[in-house]
Amino acid sequence: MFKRVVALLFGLVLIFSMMLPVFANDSDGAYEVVEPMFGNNNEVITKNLFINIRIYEEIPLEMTLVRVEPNIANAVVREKISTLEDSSARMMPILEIEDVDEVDLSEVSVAYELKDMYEEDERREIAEAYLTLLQDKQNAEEEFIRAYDRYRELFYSDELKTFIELENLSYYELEVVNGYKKALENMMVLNQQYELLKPIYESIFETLVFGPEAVVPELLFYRTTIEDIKPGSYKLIFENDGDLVETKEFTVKAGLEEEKLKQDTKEILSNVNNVIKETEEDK
Amino acid sequence: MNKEFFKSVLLAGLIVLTVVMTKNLLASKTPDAVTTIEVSITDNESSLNIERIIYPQDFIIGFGGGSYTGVYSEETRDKIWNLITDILPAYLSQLNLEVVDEEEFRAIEKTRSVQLRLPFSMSLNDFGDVYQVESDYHEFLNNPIKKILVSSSQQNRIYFSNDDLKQYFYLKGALEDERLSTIINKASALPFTEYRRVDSLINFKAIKEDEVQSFHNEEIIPITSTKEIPFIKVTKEIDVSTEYQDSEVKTFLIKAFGNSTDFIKRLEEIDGSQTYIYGYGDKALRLGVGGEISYQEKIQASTETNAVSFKEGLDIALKFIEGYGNTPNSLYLSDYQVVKNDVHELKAYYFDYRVRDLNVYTKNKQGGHALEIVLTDDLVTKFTKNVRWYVKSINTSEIWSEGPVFIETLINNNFDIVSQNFNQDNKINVMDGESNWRMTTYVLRIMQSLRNVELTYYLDSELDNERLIPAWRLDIADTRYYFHVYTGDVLQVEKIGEPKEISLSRR
Repeated sequence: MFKRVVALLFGLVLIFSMMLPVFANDSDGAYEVVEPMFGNNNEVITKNLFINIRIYEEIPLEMTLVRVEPNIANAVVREKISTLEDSSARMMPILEIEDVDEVDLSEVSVAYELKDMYEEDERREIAEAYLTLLQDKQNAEEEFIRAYDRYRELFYSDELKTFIELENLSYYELEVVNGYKKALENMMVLNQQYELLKPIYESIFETLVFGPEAVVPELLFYRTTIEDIKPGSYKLIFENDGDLVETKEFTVKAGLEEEKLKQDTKEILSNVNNVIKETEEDK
Repeated sequence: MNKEFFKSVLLAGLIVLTVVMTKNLLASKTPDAVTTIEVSITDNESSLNIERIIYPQDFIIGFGGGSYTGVYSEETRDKIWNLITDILPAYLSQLNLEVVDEEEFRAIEKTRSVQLRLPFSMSLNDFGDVYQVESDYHEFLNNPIKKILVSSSQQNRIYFSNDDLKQYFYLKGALEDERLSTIINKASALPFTEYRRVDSLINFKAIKEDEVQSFHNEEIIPITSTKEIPFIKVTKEIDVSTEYQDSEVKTFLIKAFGNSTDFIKRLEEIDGSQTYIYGYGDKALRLGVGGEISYQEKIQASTETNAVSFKEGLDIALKFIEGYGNTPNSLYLSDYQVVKNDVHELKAYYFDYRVRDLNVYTKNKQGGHALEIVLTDDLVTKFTKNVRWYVKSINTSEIWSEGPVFIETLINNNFDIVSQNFNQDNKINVMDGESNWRMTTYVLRIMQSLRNVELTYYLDSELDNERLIPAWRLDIADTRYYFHVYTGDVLQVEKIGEPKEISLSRR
């Protein structure tokens, strides 16, 4: 019983420790983000995003600001992609290395490249291309599994490795072998395209706004201002020697415009009151 | 007989001629001749608008939420100042004065408001004198004020303050004036350079208890890029090195010495500067090769002078300025000092001007002032003028695409010079253990001493006589720095601790 309780406690401690955010040791207390000040729901109301960091200890710190782009307009595409991504983690057979090595992937490419920011049309195109690729990839995997099953059924052996002499095969057997190889090649090409397109697809939801910039203090502080920042969601990412130290997620809301609207409203109301007063006086 | 008679007539004629010539000579030496440059109090109306001459040095618009901007546009400055000068006389005559505490004043500063910093301390009685308004007695009216504050949240109040004296009060008017809100709204709708208070940048969150006891600095510095500031090609008022200026030189000579040019000596200095001395050194006019015009007069024992008020003296000074060449439209009174001795009262009026919205400061002039006039009672006894006239703007965006350097970068990049002067001003001995603060405390103290940050044009006749250089002017403790806006280089360092005594000697 005692052993069970100790094991349970140990397990719980392990789970909680895994849930804690991970910080690089050498950056603990080395800096402090003084501004932006995050209000309720991590909101920052401003026109110019002022970043003010107090540096207590100089470490090779780098800062990057990315804008988290809103979901692309076609929600159906996004939903389909999400479903396909979930189902792609299927159990695939372990393939012979020789079979994999036979496929030449050096010429595989995609029509898009990784950029700091994309136009709205381009984002939509990439999302649709990614969806098509995911569907093709899934079809290719299903096709490969079928071809693989046929191949294994025909040439199953307990031995670790089976050598097949093509010249001794019947027409049907040759068809099965070629079908397997073609399905494997098709799947691997699509997988390679997927590896190339996936980071591009992911990047359409994050636009690089600033950085990566070395955080070097001037008079104890590092300061910079992102002028005329667009309202939206952002991530302020800190890295130490390439290791992620901290990510601050927040939302920027336009401040002065709201204030101006209030003032304009006040002025309009004041004018209306004056008109009412003048009308009453005329009576 | 005839010969003797002829001799007698000739002698008599010579005696008469001698009497006539002596009379003429004496007439030219009497104080009446001085009236050619002396301006009588009864005839002192200057064509310069005195409401433009009494003009704040800094205009700051607060948008609320800790966001400010420094106003450099001549048009916006004029609108704000016209509004103040429009309502101030009425407020002064009604004199509904209320004293507030510093906390309330600071709270008003943080609202949507406009702060005006005066170039020197003036009392409300001085303003009353200028606007010819009489107020009831109140002890605060004689106190010097340094800042005027109007807020869109209190549109029928004008706040005044003097931080040195810890005095804060406001005058209340009968009606609210919504013009201020309109000005602030228009300013916020246009692109502007955002400024923050230094103590909001050195946030209390980021100061540890052991670093510094308290940090307060209401000075504002820019946090967003400022617009490109061009160099300005300029020309001198008078160039003594060229022959064709002879007629202009004569104009100045007539202005200084009157029509009689019999007793003028001309001295030419090695660099080409010309000095003209009248009589036995009673008056002197110097036309410097660097464009400076300076005039001095020794006051005679027989000269009768009368004491004048601040306003009367200012009128005399302005009238005098108008006599020496053209006067910049943006001329404003930037400093004023009074010294009394046993016999006379010396009043020094210092003036500056703006070119393309920015104040121009001149190297090696007291406070960088372009014009200085010293009155001994009502007589001008010293005058210097060194102004430049706009020729054209020189675009700098291709040379310095990064734009102007920020204030912290200026201090950081010139930390050796700044710390050396800071130690000197605060009598900090680096070898002294007690003064050996932690580096963070030391830097925070420097930032706490930062004041009067201003974007200006700098004129260095030695460095570049023909161009105005965009410069940041700022004070740290008792030292004033001029930094090149684009390179961040130090252009000039001067001490500002104690005001210099009014000097009548030529520098």
